[in-house]
Amino acid sequence: MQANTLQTPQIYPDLHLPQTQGCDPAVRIDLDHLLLAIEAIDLQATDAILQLVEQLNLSEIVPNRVSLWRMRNTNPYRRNYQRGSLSWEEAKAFVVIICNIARRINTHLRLLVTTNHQALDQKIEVLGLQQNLGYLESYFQQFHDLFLSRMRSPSVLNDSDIRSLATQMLIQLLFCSGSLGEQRLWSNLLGSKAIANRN
Amino acid sequence: MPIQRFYNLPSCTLQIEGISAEGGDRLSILTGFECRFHHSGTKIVGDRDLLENLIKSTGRYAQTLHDEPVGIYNQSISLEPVEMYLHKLKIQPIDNSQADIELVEVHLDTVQLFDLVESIDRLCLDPQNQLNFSVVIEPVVASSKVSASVLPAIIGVGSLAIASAVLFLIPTPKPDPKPQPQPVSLILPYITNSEG
Repeated sequence: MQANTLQTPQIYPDLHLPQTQGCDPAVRIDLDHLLLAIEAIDLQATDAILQLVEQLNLSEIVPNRVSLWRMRNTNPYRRNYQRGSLSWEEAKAFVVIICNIARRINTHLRLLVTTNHQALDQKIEVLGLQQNLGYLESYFQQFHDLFLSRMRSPSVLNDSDIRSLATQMLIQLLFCSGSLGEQRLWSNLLGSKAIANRN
Repeated sequence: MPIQRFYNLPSCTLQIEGISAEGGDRLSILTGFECRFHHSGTKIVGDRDLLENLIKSTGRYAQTLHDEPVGIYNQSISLEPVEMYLHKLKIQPIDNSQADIELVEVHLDTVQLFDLVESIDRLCLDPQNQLNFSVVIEPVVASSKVSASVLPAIIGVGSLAIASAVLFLIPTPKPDPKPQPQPVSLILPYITNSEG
C-alpha cells in the first residue's frame, strides 16, 4: 500500500488563448462578479490580490492597483465603465488569481455553501449553527452592498437576483478551488473544451 | 505486487488498486476502484470501464453547475439535479454484460459533489499513475444571465453614447465609496504566509 503524493496545481496553467482581440462582455462580467464575491468574503481582498500578483509573477499584466481597477471596470455594468476592453492575457491572469485565492479559502467556501443548504432546509436552528448563518448573511449583505455601489444605477438586478448571483458565485468559487479550477473556469468562460491529463 | 492509492476528501474517499507493468511504483494497470461516501456509507465498486464513465459523467456535470445543472446520462451512470443544490448519482447495470455492477444511488449536496469531482481530478493528475485517464472539461454555453437579459440595452446605450460628442469627455473615475473595513482579513494571512 502506498500513500499518494498529491501534486500542487500549476501556478500558471497552460490555458489556450483565443485569437480574437479582447474578451466578450460576458467574460468580463463573469470575472468581475467572481472577484466581487471574493471581495464580499474579505473586504481586504484587493490587497491580497495585489500581493498575490507579485507572488505569481503577474506584475507585468497587473502592475498596480490602478490597472487592477481599470481591468475590473471593463465590466459593462460597472458604474465607471469606460468602454475599455480586457485582453485574453489579462482575463487569464484574473482566472489564475481567482482560482488561487479560492484554493486558499476552500474551507470557508465549503462552510458558506453548506450553510446555505442548511438554511434552505431550515436546519440551522436544529443544528445550532446560527454563527455560520451569520457568516453567510454577512457575505450576502457585503455582496449586495458592493454590487449596488460598484454597478450602474439603477441596478440591473433586484435584491433577490443579487442574492441568487451571490449564491451562484459561491458555488463557482468552490469549483474554482479544485485542482483543475483554472481549466474548468476557463472552459466555462470561453465555451471551449479542455483536456487535462498528467498521468 | 498490488498497488493501492487513496484520494481522501472530507466527504468521500476514492481508492484505486492495480499493478505496475514495469514492476516499479507506477500504477499502470487498474484492477479495480472503490469510492466511499462518508455521509451515507454508500460505496461504488467497479472496474476501469466504470471508473472511466464516472470520470466523464462527473466532469461534464460539474461544468453544468456554472449555470443550471443538467442531467448527464452516460451508459450505466446518471447524475442529475434533484432539487436546488441536491444531486442524485445513480449507477445501475444497463445489460447482462454489466451484471457485476451493483446498483448504487446516492444523493450529494454541492460540497459532496465537489469532493467527488476533486478526488477524481486528483487521481487523473497524479503523476504516480500511468493510467491514461483524461478529464475532459466540456463547457455549458458561456453566458451570463445578466448579460442575456440586459445586453441589448447596453448596446443601445452605447450607440447613443457614440452619437454624442460628450463621449469624448470621459469623466474622471470617482472613487468608490469606502466600504467599512473589516478588522481582520481572511485571505491576506494565506497570501503573506505562503512562500509564493
